[in-house]
Amino acid sequence: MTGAKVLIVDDDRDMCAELAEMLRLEGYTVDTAHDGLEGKRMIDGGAYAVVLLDLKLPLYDGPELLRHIKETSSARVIVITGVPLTEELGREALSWEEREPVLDLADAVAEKPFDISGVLESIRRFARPRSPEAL
Amino acid sequence: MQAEHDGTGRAGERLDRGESSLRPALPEIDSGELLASFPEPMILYDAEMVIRFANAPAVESLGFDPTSLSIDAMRERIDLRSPESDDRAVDLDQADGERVARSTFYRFHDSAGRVHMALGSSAPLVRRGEVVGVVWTWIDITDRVRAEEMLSVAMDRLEDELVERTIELIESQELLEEISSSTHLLMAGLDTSFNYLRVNKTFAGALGRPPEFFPGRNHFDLFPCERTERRFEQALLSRRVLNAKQHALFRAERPDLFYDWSLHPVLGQDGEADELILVAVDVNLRMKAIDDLRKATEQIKQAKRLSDIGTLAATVAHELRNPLGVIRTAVYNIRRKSGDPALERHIANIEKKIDESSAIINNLLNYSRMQTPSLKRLRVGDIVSESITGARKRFRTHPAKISRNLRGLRGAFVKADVSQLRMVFDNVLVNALQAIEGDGEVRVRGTIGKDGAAVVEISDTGCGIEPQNLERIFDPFFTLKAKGTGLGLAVSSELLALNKGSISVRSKPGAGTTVKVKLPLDGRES
Repeated sequence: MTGAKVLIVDDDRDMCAELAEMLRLEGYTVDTAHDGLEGKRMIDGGAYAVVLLDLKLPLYDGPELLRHIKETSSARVIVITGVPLTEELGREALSWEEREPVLDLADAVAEKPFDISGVLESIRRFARPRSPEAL
Repeated sequence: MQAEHDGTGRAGERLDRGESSLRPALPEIDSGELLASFPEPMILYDAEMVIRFANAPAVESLGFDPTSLSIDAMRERIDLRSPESDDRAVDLDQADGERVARSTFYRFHDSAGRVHMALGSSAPLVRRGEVVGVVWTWIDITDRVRAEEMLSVAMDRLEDELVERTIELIESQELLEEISSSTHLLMAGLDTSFNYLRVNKTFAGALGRPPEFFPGRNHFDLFPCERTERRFEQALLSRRVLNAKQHALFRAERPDLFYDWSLHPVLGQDGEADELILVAVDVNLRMKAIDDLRKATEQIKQAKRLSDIGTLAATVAHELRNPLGVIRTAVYNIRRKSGDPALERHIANIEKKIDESSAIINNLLNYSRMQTPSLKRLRVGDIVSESITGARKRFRTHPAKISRNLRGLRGAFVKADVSQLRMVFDNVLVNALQAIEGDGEVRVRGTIGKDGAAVVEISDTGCGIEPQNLERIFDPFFTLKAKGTGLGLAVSSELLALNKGSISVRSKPGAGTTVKVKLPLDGRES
């Protein structure tokens, strides 16, 4: 496989597995991580074109990881979330005011159960080489 | 000594007998009978001031026959005093020197020690220029004085009472006026046949009549009620205050008005009730307040329940979204990998159900996040049209027709939240179509109501709703569908309330249902 590298960070292993399978079928090189810290380690260790990132993660929270990714890499990030984007759902979730600026860092947001063709389209777009030297 | 009292008829004899004693002769009195029959007490003293004669009234007044007593003995015996002369003993013999008649007010004791009051006169008996005796007469005024004293005391007491009563009256008059002018006490005076004597303004006002309407009319002619009449009669007989709570006192005319009232018998001098005062307090406001409070409490409970349910629903919905996402991705992968057209129908079904589940979740979430609408001026007809288009798409295979007539809403604007309004019409249209099995029709009609509101009526020819269910259709989680959340109309109703609109439903089982959505108009443009 010579496809672009995609990292999936989601604590739902089934979700990771199905998404990885789907993307591999599309020709991408896929890694998965199941918690925030693992995700961070992988970001720090490899150059990913696209990161599919769940916001609710154990050990190292999604928004924090998003900020870290954006600060330390050039990866495009698609946030995949089950939390309604306009809703505060309790203490665990970030309030809109906290989350909004973080979400601004994301390149796209997909609410589960997301429209698959839409997500694939975004990944295709984001995985295209952007820098002149890559052309 | 003649100590015996032997009646008035023989006074003359006694005088005759006196002549035979050693005492100087009495002047000749022509008519002993006359003296004896003198109606007031009379005593005759001789020149040495010894009593020679007392007539019967005198004996009666003194309680003994004073004949033969000297004036000193007499004074001592009866403790004769004149209050007018500083309690000094009266000198009856003064008359001797002055030879004039005197009238004085005396006080003396009778033989039993009782104090007597007397108005007395003494006069010298003169014969040939010589005083031969003194006649003393008096009128016993003890009873009169006592009566006068009692009268005086009674008068004083009456006067005091009068003053007291007057003060009370003034006070109660003020009180009465104060009470009468108060806005919530109904007051009426009734005679013992329950005819109105007078009523205050509040009383008359409560029944929508002028106060002068009532006097002379009978309470039970105006407001017949046997039971109350019996109780009034009891109050009258027992002279006790009668109380009633939350009673429709004027039921015959105003069964809707309730009063706490009391009937006070006013007792006359004979101790019988000669008037009744009816005082009533309008408790409708209080009852309404209690009712409102109960309703409000109910609403708060309901709201709390909904809020709890909302939080729960949102949490559940959120948790379901993850697995649903996995299922959808897995189905995608199956389709991709198998490429088997024989599986396609099953895969399509799974995807359809994922969509449906997702829709239910969104509905739940919408209910739990009933947000402040972002009001924008929009054409209500456009929103309805969009919803109709959406419904047609979703119910492509449904044989029922959707017809519309939105001409009445042409150029009509409302201020509402676009997505919330869309959700309302979507929900109502889904309900309408789902109520129809097989052929049928959903008619959407837009008009401007008489009250100037935009009205959208969505009628279906479906199964209709039973009356007992009709009153519950806005309850959250109440559903008549096999697969419904029971949130559609509850959400719609809440959303419309947020957008200052309203929703109502009328239905005929077997014939169909009409849902009427009303929104305040925000101007019209052609």
